[in-house]
Amino acid sequence: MKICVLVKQVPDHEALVKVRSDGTLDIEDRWVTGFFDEIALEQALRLREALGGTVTAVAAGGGKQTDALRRALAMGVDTVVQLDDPALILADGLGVARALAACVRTLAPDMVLAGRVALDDEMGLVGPAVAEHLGWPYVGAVVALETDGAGFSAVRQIEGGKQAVKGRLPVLLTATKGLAEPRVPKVMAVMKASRARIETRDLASLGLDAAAVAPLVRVLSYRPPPTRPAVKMITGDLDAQVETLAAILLSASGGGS
Amino acid sequence: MSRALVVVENTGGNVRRACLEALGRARSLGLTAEALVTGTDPLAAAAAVAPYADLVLCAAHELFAHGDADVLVPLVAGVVTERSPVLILVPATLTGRDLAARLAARLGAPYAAEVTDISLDPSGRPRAVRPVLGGKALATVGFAGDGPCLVTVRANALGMPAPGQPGEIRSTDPRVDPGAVRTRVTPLDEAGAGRVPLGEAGIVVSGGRGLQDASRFELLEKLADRLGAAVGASRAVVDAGWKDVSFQVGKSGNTVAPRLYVAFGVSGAVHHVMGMDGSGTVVVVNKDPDAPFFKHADHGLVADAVQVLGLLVRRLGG
Repeated sequence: MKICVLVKQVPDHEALVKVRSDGTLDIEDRWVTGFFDEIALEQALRLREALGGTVTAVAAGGGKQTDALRRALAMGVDTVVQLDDPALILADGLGVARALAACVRTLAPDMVLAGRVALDDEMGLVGPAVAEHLGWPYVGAVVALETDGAGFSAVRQIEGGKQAVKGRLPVLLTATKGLAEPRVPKVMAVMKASRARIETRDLASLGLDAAAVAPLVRVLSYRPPPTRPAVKMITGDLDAQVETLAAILLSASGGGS
Repeated sequence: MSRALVVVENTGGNVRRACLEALGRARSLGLTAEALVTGTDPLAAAAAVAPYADLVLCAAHELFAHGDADVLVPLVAGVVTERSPVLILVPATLTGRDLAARLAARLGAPYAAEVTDISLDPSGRPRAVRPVLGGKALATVGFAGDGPCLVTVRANALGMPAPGQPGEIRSTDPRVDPGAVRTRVTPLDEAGAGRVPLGEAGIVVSGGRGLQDASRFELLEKLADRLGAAVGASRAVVDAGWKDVSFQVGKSGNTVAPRLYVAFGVSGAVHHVMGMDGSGTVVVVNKDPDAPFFKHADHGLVADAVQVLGLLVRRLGG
């Protein structure tokens, strides 16, 4: 079985974020591979271990995206492809999805796995949009997955419940927490991955031009979230504290006493 | 007058709150508020939506039973062609977000996810505000071109409109091609079904490791029932196996923004706060006076969370 995993390097959730006075962002230089992308990588590696085949990780963009592919190599994927093109710097999720779909088409996998959402722009757009461009079935927010190489059976999360979804390959699925616990790569594997040559492709090699990935959504400005006033501590003995707490809850919940 | 189309998500006749809020915002922007309701028998949901809409389009088909995007994408795309809305609004649920992303790719339409505010610029083109980087910044986004813009809207962000004179309910062609359905979807039974969904609850009561034992969540559920709240959990509680991941609030779980968020024994690590900092009133109970959560709270109580929870449930009654 041939599996592609879409990965993205994103700012660490602990990275400090400041909004400059001109409405642009200043993000601390701390990066990690997407939380849900690592779950997708782990699931792909487990399927390879059970069924044989290959796993290819694909990332779109230059610079830090190399690190996501090195992480994938250290975890154990067979090959990686980096889509690197100046036009991708300005692309939005739809443009990136079009480029990734074109790349996936050349790799002709049986299954594509991606993270449910990247925790930077938090759009959750690329996975389902790639499926749509490929004309493939799609299952989002998957917490359990089985396949025999011909069909698949997945459990997906929905609001307030779960659904079982069955179908035939090829399919694109997005991984969410609970699907698989990502392995921590061994030091030797990390060192080897840090020296690996990363294959890059540009848009022209995929038959695309800059217009195909031109952004449709543009950030006009950023602003900081509203700040909360300083916390008011509830004082007194325990009974008095509980009484005050009950009053706060009933008043804020709009309920009676 | 320009139109907005709200794609309504409903389960068993219960309409997602975000859909009604979206219709209300469309009207307050001076747009005609049109709703698309689907289901095997969507009339009850259509009637629930009508007081908030100028027109309710009703598409009935058995294949709409589980919200399968394979049939919803062609339907919505067809309705968009027919009605030419300037703005398409979808609730930001897991299924709503998947539907919107596929629609965006299908229509080549600009899309913004999980928006918390929508306005029109001076030329009448929509603009939206959306949190990014775990709510550490709010982005104002504009949409290219002059075709329809797509947004998914977060519950509890746009405000609940008052019901008015019910709009016309009109049935529409479901445009279902059974051959386009490539997956078979079966709902699974789920504990906690029937309770208000976490993502759209007006009140969330949340528990962390400070509750010391999984069984203490029964007390939290009693409090939730008393307040009409949903129950949330910290990552530590989920990782310890006390609660399913569907209860998790934070970076790797759910993002919530209720008008009241109450946390018992949750330390308030960054990854948790990222999932709830947009909430209205935040109340934190923790025995550690240095718990980081107090920095993100309106009211704080330094005390044992289990003890306080027990006394509180007794005080408020079951």
